[in-house]
Amino acid sequence: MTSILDIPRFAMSSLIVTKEREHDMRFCRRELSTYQRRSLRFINIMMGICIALSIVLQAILERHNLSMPIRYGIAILAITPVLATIFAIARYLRGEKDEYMRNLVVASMLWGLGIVLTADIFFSYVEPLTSVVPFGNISLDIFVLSASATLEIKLWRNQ
Amino acid sequence: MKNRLRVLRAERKWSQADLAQKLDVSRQSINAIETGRFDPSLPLAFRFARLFETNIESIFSDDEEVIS
Repeated sequence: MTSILDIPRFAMSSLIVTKEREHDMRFCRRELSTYQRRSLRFINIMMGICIALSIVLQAILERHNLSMPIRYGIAILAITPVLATIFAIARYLRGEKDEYMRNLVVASMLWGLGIVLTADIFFSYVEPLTSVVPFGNISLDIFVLSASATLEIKLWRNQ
Repeated sequence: MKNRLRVLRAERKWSQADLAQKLDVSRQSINAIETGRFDPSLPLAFRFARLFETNIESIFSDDEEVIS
C-alpha cells in the first residue's frame, strides 16, 4: 500500500501549490493585507455614512423650511464625511506599499469621477423634461457605487 | 512589456503567493505583472532582479526589443 511518504516530493509540492492556488482564487479578497483591509473597510464605512447622511439631510431639507444658518450647518455636516473619506483615501494611498493596489484604487476613483461627469452632462439635458431625482442629490451615490464596482471588478478580473 | 517571471518562478517552484510574500506585495500584483496587465516600477523591478539574482533585462524586456 502506498503511504504518503512514497509520493515524490515534487508531486507533493505541486499538489500543495495547486491547493494553495485554488484557495487563493476562492478567497481572493482575503489576500489583502491587514492595512489594506482596514483602510478599505474604513473608506467603505465613510462612504456609507456619506450616502446615508445625504439621504437623511435631503429629506430634512425637503420637508422643513429651514433658516439659512441651519442650512449652512447642514451643509457643513454633509461635507464632513466626504472630507473624511478624501483624507482616508489620501492616507491609504500614502501608506500603501503595493503599487499595483495603489494603481487600482486611483483608477477606480477616476472611473467613478468619469461616470459622475458623464451622468451629470446627460442629466443636465434631460432633467428639466423629466421628473427624475435631481442629479446633484445622487451624484455622490453614483460616485461611490461606480468606484466601488470598478475596484471589485478589477480585483475579480485579476484573480 | 514582456517578462519571464512565470518561468523564473516555476524554476524555483514558487507559487504566486510565495513570490508575493517574498516581495511584500499582493498576489494580485504578481498576477497582473506576469500577465502583462501592469508594468512594475523601477524599484520593484530591481527587487525582482535581486530576488532572482539576475539583472532586470533578463526578467523584463521591451515589446519592441522582442520584435526586433
